[in-house]
Amino acid sequence: MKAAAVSINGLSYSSFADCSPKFLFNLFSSTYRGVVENRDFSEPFNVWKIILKNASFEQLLSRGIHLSNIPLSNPTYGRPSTDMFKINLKEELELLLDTINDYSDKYVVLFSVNTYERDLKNKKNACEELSLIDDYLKAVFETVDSYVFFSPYGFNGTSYEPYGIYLSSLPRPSEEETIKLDQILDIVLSLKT
Amino acid sequence: MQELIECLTYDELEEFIKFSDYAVVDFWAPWCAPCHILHRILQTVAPAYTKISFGRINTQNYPEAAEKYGIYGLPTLLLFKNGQIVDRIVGVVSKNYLVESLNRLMQ
Repeated sequence: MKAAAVSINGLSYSSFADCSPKFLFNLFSSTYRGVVENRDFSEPFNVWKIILKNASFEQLLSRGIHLSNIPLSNPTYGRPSTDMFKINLKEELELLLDTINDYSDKYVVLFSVNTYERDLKNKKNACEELSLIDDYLKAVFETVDSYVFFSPYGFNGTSYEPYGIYLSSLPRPSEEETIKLDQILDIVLSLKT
Repeated sequence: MQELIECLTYDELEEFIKFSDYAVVDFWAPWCAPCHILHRILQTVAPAYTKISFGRINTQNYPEAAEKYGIYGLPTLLLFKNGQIVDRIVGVVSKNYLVESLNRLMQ
């Protein structure tokens, strides 16, 4: 059973309204969905420390999670790792697919897409970038048996938003609650069961 | 983007509706994913309607507001003219649909 958890840092539902990504909108209408809430946003580094509960690559690997491209450092944390300032979105998304193909038979791949947020800082509208992400998430969806696509916060180009996306083969933990950062790791773990 | 949609408390809601010739109130909750999409659509449309007062109320914080106005699904937009409900939109709608509804409200 193949499983993957993909974070697209900075992606918010506002971008769905602005850019109408075809696959993500279809998924939105047909799968479990929710909202990740992150009211105490500081830096992506701290956000990911909370998500991973300070666990190391090896600790999480022993629990069945393969970390890849996590923005805890630059080069990124996990295997494979990239230089966040040099890689472009297409290269990063290719790496996402390669990593899932290489590891998702044995582990849940937890991969962070970081360049979308970087690109948003440089342009007002990143619909072209979101369209590319949309295509690759469709490919991920077609590759794995269980998945979660999420973002730990939104970003609108100038400021952070306290809400991120959650689209998954699993329902959110509580029906009328947002998903908190410290719940994400448990959700990722449960993708393999 | 300038925020033209006023965040309302339950206490403010009545006066907001009463003292606006035209008002649109967005009933939402943070956990409701479609609410975030509709909010963005409303944000993009609102600047063109300077005679309409736009507000939103978090029904998780103010469930009494949802009860009072018979809100059974989120998001729900209520459109008011002179304090009376003239239209009710439940769920996410397209920008065009929203524009048509706001145009009807202004007629």
